[in-house]
Amino acid sequence: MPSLRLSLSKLFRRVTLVANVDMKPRILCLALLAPLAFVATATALAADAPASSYQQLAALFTDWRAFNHPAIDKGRPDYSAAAMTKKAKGLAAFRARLKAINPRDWSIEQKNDYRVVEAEMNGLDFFLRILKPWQRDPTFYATVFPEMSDVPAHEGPSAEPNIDLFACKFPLSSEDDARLADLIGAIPALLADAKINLAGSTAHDLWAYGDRAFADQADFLAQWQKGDPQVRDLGGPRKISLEGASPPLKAAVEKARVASADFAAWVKAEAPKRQGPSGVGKANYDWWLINVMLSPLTYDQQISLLERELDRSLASLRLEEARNRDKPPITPIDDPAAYAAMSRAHAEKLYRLWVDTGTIADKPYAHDALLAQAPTYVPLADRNFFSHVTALDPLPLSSHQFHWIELARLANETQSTPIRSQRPLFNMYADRSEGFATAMEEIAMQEGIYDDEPHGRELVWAMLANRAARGLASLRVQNNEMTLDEAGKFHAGWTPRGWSDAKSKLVGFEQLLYLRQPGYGPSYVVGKAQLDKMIARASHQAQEQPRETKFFTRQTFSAIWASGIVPPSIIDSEFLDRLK
Amino acid sequence: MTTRKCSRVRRSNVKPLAHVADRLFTRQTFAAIWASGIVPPSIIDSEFLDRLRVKARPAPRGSVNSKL
Repeated sequence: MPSLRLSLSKLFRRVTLVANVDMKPRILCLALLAPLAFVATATALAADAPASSYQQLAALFTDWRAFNHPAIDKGRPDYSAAAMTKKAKGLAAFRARLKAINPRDWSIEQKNDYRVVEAEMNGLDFFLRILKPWQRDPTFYATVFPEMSDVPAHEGPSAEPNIDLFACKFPLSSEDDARLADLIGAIPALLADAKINLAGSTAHDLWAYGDRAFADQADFLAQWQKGDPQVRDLGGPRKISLEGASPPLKAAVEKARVASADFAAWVKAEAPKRQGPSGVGKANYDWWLINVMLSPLTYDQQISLLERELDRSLASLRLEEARNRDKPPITPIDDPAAYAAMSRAHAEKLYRLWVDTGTIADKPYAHDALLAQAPTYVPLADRNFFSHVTALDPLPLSSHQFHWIELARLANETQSTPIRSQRPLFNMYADRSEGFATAMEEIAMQEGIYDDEPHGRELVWAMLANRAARGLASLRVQNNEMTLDEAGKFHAGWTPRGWSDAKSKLVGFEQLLYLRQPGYGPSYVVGKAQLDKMIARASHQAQEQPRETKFFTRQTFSAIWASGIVPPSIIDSEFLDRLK
Repeated sequence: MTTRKCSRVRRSNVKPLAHVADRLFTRQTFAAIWASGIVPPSIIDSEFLDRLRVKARPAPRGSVNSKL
């Protein structure tokens, strides 16, 4: 088995501050820029214009991604009202350029790329008109990221430049040390600017919960000063240290820590003065779903789907318990080393199942990525919902760690188009990434991963109920029918077994994220349903082309994965052709 | 999805070994639903929970629930 650490060292040997095609300039130690795609309302556009070349779209895309960044001076971005007004004017010009491209004779994937580019422009439009995170949302200005996200980009909007510590190789080279000193050194100025940019914000819940990210940021920086906090990337968790860092970097960390703590206190003090609504409202939410996430479901349809899935999961859990009534209970493992060994063994078993069923291709990078994220032991007193589940069996969460197989695929495989080799903007991939990872929990169950441990099936239903409950709450928050506090109570109250605590850090973090990023909260269930639909459509098509079951599974999943990380409706429009 | 934010929870709220069938739950729930007879499910939905509230009292000794 090739060493993941070795392959990562190749990826990480250049620590570069990149202001490239990706959404955010970042300390990019990963060349892991992911795929995306776009497409096709395009066919209706410029119908009378001469056919354009795909290269024209690719060139526009490069310019568009460069435009999408704010002006940044020595690590200090400009999100002022004047700068955003200028950005809106620039967007109109990019829309005109896109509209002038006629994709008439392109392949379906190329047309879909057009749709993705168009959706990204819609995303910026929405940010400029409605969401305005730089103007409404204090958490937007939290920019230190110790952990790589399990989705292609950071969850929720954040100011540039992101400071992705997970992407840095430690001990730092002198060049990287200097870059980090500049970036972290700019945090006090960034937060000073933030106070000006946020002056008119009245979005109460964004403020009421908005101090937390900065308290966390300050805590992390303090831990970094004192010891060796954990970061996480494709290779799994690892410790980093400031030992050997330059005096300017150490000084920058201290100033950033103080500024972060001060900002947290300021946000907390300001919250009572900010008493307006925080959600975008149903009409705006629908616009976002249709034009950015390219979702086939409206707000009301998502409510119906999530209510159905909450009911189905809770009913299934009770019936599963009845089915397993005479089966011996799972015996929890309380020894961390023994737990780690069990967790890795379960992840290995899961990987073999997925390979044997044709769900994924057998690739060393996929194996290593899944094993590297095998859950570890969490003491009872520190458990949140997911670690309560995982204490009994890590398999449901390992199934969700399918995310990391996908990230490894992006890092190791050539994507089908140049546009799909970049990460989509504005979290428009949420249905695809979160929904499909959630689907993998039930898929692994249906494929038989719990056949020798029936109580494990109960955990899968509990996980789904949690996602449906929190997604429903998030939708109500976006329509200003619930506050974040109320959402937390609903979220925890409808999660089975008392495993979710409304006052927990996890519930607060999740509901705040789903308020900050429309579409994200329901995406776990919505995207799962979209994958179910694809499998159903492939099954229906296969009735006319009978084939052996294993072959069908392998071909279907392969055809779906081949589209990359794009909204599921994009995949749905192209994957069946691959099966013919 | 993130699992990295840990939280302290009140132990009294947590049932880490709750993966044991609650036979009384199943028995009472189905009985309460069947009791409405053959009517539209929305009718059943409006009345069956009240039956469960009445019945949801501690199980007597010797019932199937007593060993949980």
